[in-house]
Amino acid sequence: MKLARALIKNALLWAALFGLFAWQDGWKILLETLMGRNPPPLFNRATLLQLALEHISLAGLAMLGVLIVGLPLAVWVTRSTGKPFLSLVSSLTALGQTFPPVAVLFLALPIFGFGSTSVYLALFLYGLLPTVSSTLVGLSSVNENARDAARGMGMNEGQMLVRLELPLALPAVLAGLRTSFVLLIATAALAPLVGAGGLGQPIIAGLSVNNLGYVLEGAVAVALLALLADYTLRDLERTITPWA
Amino acid sequence: MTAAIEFQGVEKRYGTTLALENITLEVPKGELVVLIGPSGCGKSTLLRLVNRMIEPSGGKLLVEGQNVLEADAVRLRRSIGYVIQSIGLFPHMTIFENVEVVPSLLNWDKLKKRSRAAELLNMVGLEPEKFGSRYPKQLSGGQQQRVGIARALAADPQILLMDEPFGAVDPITRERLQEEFLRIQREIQKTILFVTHDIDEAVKLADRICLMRDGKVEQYATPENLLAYPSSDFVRDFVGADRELKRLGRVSVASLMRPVAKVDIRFQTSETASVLGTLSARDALSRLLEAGGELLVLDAQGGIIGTISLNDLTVANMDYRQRKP
Ligand SMILES: Nc1ncnc2c1ncn2[C@@H]1O[C@H](COP(=O)(O)OP(=O)(O)OP(=O)(O)O)[C@@H](O)[C@H]1O
Ligand SMILES: [Mg+2]
Repeated sequence: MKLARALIKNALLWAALFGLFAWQDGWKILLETLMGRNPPPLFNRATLLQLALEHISLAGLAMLGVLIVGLPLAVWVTRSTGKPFLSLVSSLTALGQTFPPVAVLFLALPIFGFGSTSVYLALFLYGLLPTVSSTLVGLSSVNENARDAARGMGMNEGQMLVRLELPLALPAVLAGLRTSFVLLIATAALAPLVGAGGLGQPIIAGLSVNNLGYVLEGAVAVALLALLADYTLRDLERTITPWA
Repeated sequence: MTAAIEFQGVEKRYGTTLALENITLEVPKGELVVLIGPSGCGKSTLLRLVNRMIEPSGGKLLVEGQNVLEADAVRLRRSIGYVIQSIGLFPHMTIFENVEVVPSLLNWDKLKKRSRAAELLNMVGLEPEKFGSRYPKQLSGGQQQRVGIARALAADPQILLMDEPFGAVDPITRERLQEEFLRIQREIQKTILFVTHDIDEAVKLADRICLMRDGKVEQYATPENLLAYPSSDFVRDFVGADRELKRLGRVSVASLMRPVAKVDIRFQTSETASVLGTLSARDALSRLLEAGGELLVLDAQGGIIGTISLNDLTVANMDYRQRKP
């Protein structure tokens, strides 16, 4: 039905975007038209498709960590057992985000060394806040009357969570995930600073050798990824919350 | 044991404030008892003790003979229908799903749930085909109230708790809902505790009225007796200066008329000169004020069973007739 249609449509859009990334010659022509041939404006140490795949898997895996840790954490601190930790968790996730990701990257270096582990850590900490805080907002905004009615009809704590609170929090949760993911896609461009890959490579290389073509190539690709991620998640939000 | 709900010296404290004080009250099986009183007098508190949404601080509360504190709260709540003023429909569920909440908690199978929901929606006057798959947002306030009632009845509870169920709708819809609700109650005969602010609603619906004040029961009586014999100035003031008119609303024309021996010949009677015996005396009064003199009283078949005039609608006559069995 509606959800299936949305999934197919978005899968096609993603395939189209990666098809576009794979069209190396097209990008070459485009960049040469804009930037001239000298220096050669297309990044030559990896294809754009490779870079984009690396990039999306960096952001995607970090996002997975955010989901696995962030969602249960937010649910737990709204239950009676976790309530005492609510303000602690809110401030810690906020702290995670006020810390500049570049700083986190370099602080992680001595512990995890060069490579993607440091990137995952920095992205994870940076992406936690929007997901956790909007899940908290979603759960706390569940109508008090609906809650009262649910309890009065004989739902226990678990049933209240699964049948009432989570479904009603869903729009807010999805909005939070979307913010986190878009943020992570943009921030993952810093990965090459600690020796990991992704679309940050042409950007950072371009800055150091003063090749604006490289910078443009990486930046446009990151922007396209972020835009499509935003669009897809918005679309899903709409289709799985038909009551809103 | 005929009392479905029995309060025995029940008390509820919030810190130092005493929300309920020494409440002793029996709600007979199958009756509709209305809790009424000024805001903050403890009506909702009293109601919510019954399904253990809150627990008494003293005294004893028996529901169908069982002490609520010894009952499993979740099981107890599933066996009692619950309707609140704001309705509390679940916005993310369709109307069908909303009505099926308690049956789902009780693990009924899908077909049984759906057919029960359809039956109840029909009963509250909503076509299941038209409304079942909608979301609450797509219904009017009055329609949502109906769904709230259907939802409370889904698992066929013997007891129904209703906290201002018609509070959020306009007066005309409210009156329609009251009438339909009375019709439904005549059919299903549940034990109902019903909270309202509105004395007219109470007089119209109640088998008994429990008038409360500052956490205590001020008077517990049938509407007729509450109106005829208010036990204090507070009750007298609360029911209003027009309490005799309200009393007329509770009695039928047939019970106040002067009966005539049944005549065989069916008269061709004109509209203005006759009333049905089942009409309320209050409505008959209105017709008498319009027409003056005397009206013929008819039975459902149009046969003349008596006459009624302004002189029959006196308090003395009501007192006299009510005292007779
Ligand atoms: N959770 C609570 N904590 C403290 N006091 C409370 C609580 N719930 C109710 N009360 C107090 O108990 C008293 C009775 O409240 P209750 O809600 O039963 O009144 P009510 O008769 O239903 O009023 P209304 O007609 O306005 O709904 C009030 O004085 C109220 O302030
Ligand atoms: Mg109340």
